[in-house]
Amino acid sequence: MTTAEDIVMTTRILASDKVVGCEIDGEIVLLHLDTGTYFGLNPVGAEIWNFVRDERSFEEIRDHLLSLYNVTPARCESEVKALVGKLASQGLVAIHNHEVSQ
Amino acid sequence: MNSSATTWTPERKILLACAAAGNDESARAELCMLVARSPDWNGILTNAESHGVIPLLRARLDELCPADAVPAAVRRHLRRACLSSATQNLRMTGELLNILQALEEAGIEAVPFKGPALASQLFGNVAQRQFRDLDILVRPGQISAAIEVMLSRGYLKEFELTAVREAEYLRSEHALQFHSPSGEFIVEIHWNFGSRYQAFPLTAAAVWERLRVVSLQGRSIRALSNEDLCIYLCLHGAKHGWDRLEWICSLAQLMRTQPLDWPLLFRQAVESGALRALRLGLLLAKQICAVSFPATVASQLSADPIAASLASQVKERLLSSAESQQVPEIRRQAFYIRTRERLTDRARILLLYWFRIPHPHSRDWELFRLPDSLSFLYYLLRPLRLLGNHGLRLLQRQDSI
Repeated sequence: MTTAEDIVMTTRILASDKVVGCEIDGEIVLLHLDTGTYFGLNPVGAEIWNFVRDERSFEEIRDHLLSLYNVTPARCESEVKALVGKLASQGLVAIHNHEVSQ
Repeated sequence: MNSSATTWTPERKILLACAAAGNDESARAELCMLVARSPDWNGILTNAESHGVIPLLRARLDELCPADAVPAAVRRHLRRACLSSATQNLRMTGELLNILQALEEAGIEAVPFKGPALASQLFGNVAQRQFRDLDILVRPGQISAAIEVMLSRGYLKEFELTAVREAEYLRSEHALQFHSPSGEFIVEIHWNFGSRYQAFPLTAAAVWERLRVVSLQGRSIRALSNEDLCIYLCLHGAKHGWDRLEWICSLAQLMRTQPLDWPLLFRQAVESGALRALRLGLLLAKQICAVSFPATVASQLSADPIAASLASQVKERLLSSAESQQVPEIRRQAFYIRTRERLTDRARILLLYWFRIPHPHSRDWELFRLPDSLSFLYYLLRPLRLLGNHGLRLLQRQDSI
């Protein structure tokens, strides 16, 4: 299983189809259908979530956030890696390092 | 002149101002003015809940009114209600996707409409619309297989019928309701949009040819064409007397957010006998939600005085505190008949209102449980019961004069 430590620029990230979400007050509420657990994402997390509804590379997510927020690339990369790692550990996103995705 | 203007309450006016505020500057000003007059917030919240517009009320108050104009307790209540509705909607969305997958695996074509599918299509967010159940259309030839799928998922039918009565039910009605064992989810499996008794002009057979594919939570699902959806929402509102503000808001949102082929829409409405219902729906969207239309459409709307009169009735009822939400069945039926422009449809609905095999939830069914072999007697018993009820009501009215 790929973890946050394995994330590189080409790592592909995709929202799980076992998760449904909605937006409320600029935040995202997620429900994992298998576990019945709810999760909340702040506006930055919501931005990432909406972006990975279509499969994206880590680099695409980083560039997308850099275009939206005034933050250094190093800090952006570190925070995105941490968040994506947490999302993956809860089964909310799938991350893999294959070159070609199905 | 408006005879019942004195019964209009500020609380209902606030809800209507919320409905129009998206498109109408004067409605925004009126909303702020009404809110500043210390309205009965309990009444507003109760009305918003019964009209299904809690998310709309919260959004408008947050967006348009000064923070100190709305009591903190009201804001907290609205936030909790919206969160509760959003989490419930998510559970229902998840369940819908699971059912669609099970139907797909059983080789059954299914079209979710209303519920999460409509919320997602109109608002892009299932949290922004309140709904209570899940509605799924299947082909009539696949209804038995769909029932099997629901039963295999642990769902229970709302009632059990003998084979003969079930066959009659499937012929004359349009949907069968199921509930999950926990009671959390209610699912209606439809094979048509209205019962034979309603002479519903939008038939499932027609819409199957015009379906499109949309995305719900990243998954591809079938959906009605925008024109079919528009006509369906208009007919659904007409069938229920348009007594829920949310129905009008959803129709208005469809017009604001989805492209509509107006000539096609009107052609389909004319051909199916749904023209007056369409005009009524559009008039309500215009008068209640301040939706504007192209000039050609606006001229269509002004061409039907009966539709205009029905729209006035609906608006009056929405604003009035005197009207109960529970409109008597016969008045609802009379309203529905008036929304139909063809004499043959009106006659058919009227005739079948009096002479029919009862729905298992109807009063006739509760009063008279007849064996299958005597079902024909319902055609006599129902008119007698209705005559008794309505005759009694008329006599009571005369007494009170």
